[in-house]
Amino acid sequence: MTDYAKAREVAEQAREKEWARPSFGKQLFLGDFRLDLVHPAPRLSEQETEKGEEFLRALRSFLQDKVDPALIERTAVIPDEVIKGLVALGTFGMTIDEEYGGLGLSHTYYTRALQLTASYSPALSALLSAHQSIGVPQPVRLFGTPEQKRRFLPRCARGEISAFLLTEPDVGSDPARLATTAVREGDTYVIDGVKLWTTNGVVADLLVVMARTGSKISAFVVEADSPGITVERRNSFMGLRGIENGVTRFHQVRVPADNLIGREGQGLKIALTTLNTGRLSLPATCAGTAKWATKIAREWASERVQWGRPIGEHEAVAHKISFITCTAYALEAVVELAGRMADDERNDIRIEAALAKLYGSEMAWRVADELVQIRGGRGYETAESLHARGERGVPAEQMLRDLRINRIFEGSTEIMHLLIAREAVDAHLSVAGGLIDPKADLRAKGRAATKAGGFYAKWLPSLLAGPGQLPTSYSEFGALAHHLRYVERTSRKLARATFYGMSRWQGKLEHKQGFLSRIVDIGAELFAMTAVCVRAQEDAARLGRRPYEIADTFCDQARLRAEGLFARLWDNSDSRDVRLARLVLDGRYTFVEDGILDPSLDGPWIAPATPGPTEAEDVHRHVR
Amino acid sequence: MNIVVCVKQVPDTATERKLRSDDKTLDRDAADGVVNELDEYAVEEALRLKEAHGGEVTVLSMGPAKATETIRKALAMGADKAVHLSDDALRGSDALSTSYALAETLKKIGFDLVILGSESTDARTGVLAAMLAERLGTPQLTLANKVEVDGSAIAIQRVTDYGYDKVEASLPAVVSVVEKINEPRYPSFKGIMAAKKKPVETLAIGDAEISADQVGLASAWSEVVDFAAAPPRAAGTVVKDEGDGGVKAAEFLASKKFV
Ligand SMILES: Cc1cc2nc3c(=O)[nH]c(=O)nc-3n(C[C@H](O)[C@H](O)[C@H](O)COP(=O)(O)OP(=O)(O)OC[C@H]3O[C@@H](n4cnc5c(N)ncnc54)[C@H](O)[C@@H]3O)c2cc1C
Repeated sequence: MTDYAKAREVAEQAREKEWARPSFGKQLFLGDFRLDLVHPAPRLSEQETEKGEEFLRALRSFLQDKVDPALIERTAVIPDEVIKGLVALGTFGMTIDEEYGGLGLSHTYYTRALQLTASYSPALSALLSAHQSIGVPQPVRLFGTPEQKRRFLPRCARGEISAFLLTEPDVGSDPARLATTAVREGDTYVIDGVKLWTTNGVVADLLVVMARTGSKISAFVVEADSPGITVERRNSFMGLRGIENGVTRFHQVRVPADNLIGREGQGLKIALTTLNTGRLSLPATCAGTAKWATKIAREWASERVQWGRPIGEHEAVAHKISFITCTAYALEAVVELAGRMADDERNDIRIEAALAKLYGSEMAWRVADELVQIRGGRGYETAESLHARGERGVPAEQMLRDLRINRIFEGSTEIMHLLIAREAVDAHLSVAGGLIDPKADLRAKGRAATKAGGFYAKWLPSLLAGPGQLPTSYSEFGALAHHLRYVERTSRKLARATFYGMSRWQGKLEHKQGFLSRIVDIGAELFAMTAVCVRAQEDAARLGRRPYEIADTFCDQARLRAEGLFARLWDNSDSRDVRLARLVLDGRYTFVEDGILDPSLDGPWIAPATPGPTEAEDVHRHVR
Repeated sequence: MNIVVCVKQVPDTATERKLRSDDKTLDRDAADGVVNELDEYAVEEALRLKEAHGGEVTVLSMGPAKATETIRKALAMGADKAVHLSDDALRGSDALSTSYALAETLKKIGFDLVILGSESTDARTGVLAAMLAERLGTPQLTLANKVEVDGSAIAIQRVTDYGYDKVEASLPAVVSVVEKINEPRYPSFKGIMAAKKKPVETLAIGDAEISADQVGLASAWSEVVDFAAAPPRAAGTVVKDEGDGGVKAAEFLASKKFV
């Protein structure tokens, strides 16, 4: 098998294949706009709302009173006192059930708490979300035995810090290459390997470690103090300067067999399922930053006067302010909707959460970039420097740096495109998979054709007409109804395009990443438009016309983006780019690089991760 | 051990604090009310003593209705219950009448140990602990940076200019603590939720047998005659060092009669 095929197979095995509950996202890609699944958006009970609001108040006053985000940025360390305070407040157990000593908060309030925290100090929200969304609590909650829950969850809730260790120097987006091994010896496993970029790893008490057991990958809870574990380095990054992210070496580390989560070989599935809702935490932090950017853009653009008027009144800046504001409202709407659906548990939200991660990280990056632009030279200056010369210390450049990683970790944008595209075409694959499988023989293809025939005979005509064509549909949305009609029509158009792509490229479709990414991005715009309309309608009860105004403009913006993507589905430079890139890699065009000097420091591109005893000093420490 | 902590709501020191022009009392509506920071050390110490020796911690606060927020904060930290002495007649009470009112309330609710912060950040008289002890007829152990209880004996380290004094007494007693004594805990979210359900008994002066003619602005022994805003800080004198900086500095100090 080729490495590509192996990678693909591993990804396929880790996928959750069942759809026990309805999925708005899945239907959207099939051209079936199920507004009824998301509207009216589910609501939390009064009791949970009250608890959540009280918690947000407590968190807000803690942040305000006890946390100095500029200090975290300057020293690149979150003070122990801050961590202890967050622990005392209960933030390390936000998502852990009360039964295990946690706060048992809803997803909705967990994401709101992260949004609030991220707007103030993204390093802090990274600490909390790495601990809770990917660290020990989530996989143990979902897959742990009752005994494991009793052993680990109360410790996590009490503030023992956890980290998630999947990535290795040679393994990023492709876990099939995972080199860390766990070998069973009696009632223990012996773990060997090197893990890279372990957020929280430098200060962790408990680790989730992904390691190979035979040919498959398994997940373990490991005590960070176990003999044989060395944190060899603390890494530093472009942003999130406060995070405690390191390189962790495992040399003959003995782990009780009881610490295996789920069964052997289930590791990646556990990681992916954990992310089904865990993925909402990053977009929540993106929404937080975008909301903050809205505040700064408004205040600054009305204060700063150039060429005789406040800069916000120059059209070029006005566009940016409108974009920032509408996007902030939309990102929050997307996260809220997905969060509330996660709480309500009637729908499968894995596609919505994945879309939220993809869309949130991409859009928030643009928002932060536009904020820097509006701030002009001050956007590029650090908060500390601004403050030192007597101005308001607005950390716009920091937010830009802090946000950048969101497009890379917990599934890079490119990988999210593939992941979502896989789900988007899943219905087709399940009925017509045999048809387009290059390896299937003729008889199998014949069987597949009959099966697919039945499906498509019903499905294709349903794409031709729908409520989006009736001028009266969705009239309860008033001025926004036409946007929902657009979403309905466009979801059918999207499904037709997907179907066309399938029949045109068949088995090669999975390599058409340009095409697939645009399909997914259109889906993301349609989901965001839906979330915004649903939200605006709900908010109108409290805020009157104002949410409608934002939603209307956001939908205009989103439609233009979607139309641009549609146009580029068929008219693009994809194949020429692929050809050219291959030649670039072959070294045909190195003349382009003439006249430069490469400042990179010496070293191999990828450090060897040879197992064995450490040669480094242990920089692991506990926050106690 | 039955511990009572006296807690006061004061205007947030981070906001601008004002006196009312009509009766020259503190304008409590002008600023957010927060727990007197120094009282948080008292609450913390009470909780630690309770954790070590068992018993119960009661919060006692005299103040307007909105002081309940402050009481809830102390309850959120872990105190068991609270008594809120609240009556319009108490408004404008000075230190003497406040100590009278609190002492009467303490006699009514009973105590083994009363703990206070060393002063309040608004009035800053720092005399309440001594006055309370006098009125209650108990020993006073003030300005403690360490408290130890052993049975019915209590010992503290009293902070002084030259180090500390060791002061011993027997319970019941009144103690005031300084901020060096501990690190107050931050209320946990569970504590905050639990505090909502903890009993807060509100007493009017009649309930505590406090006589109206000994409290309030009219019966105060001290009076604010006048007040003015602090003058803005004038620019300082800059002594430029041109080789004779030392001499000039000495001349300046001599001219102000410092040397
Ligand atoms: C600050 C920080 C914190 C992190 N925290 C953690 C953590 O707590 N735990 C943990 O396990 N990991 C963590 N990571 C690792 C992170 O998840 C990985 O960086 C990420 O998965 C990408 O892997 P990679 O860097 O090896 O990139 P690669 O996989 O080498 O990818 C390089 C580029 O190729 C693209 N690419 C790769 N495969 C494909 C494909 N099949 N199709 C199209 N494009 C592709 C990628 O999108 C990317 O643009 C962290 C990283 C950083 C920088």
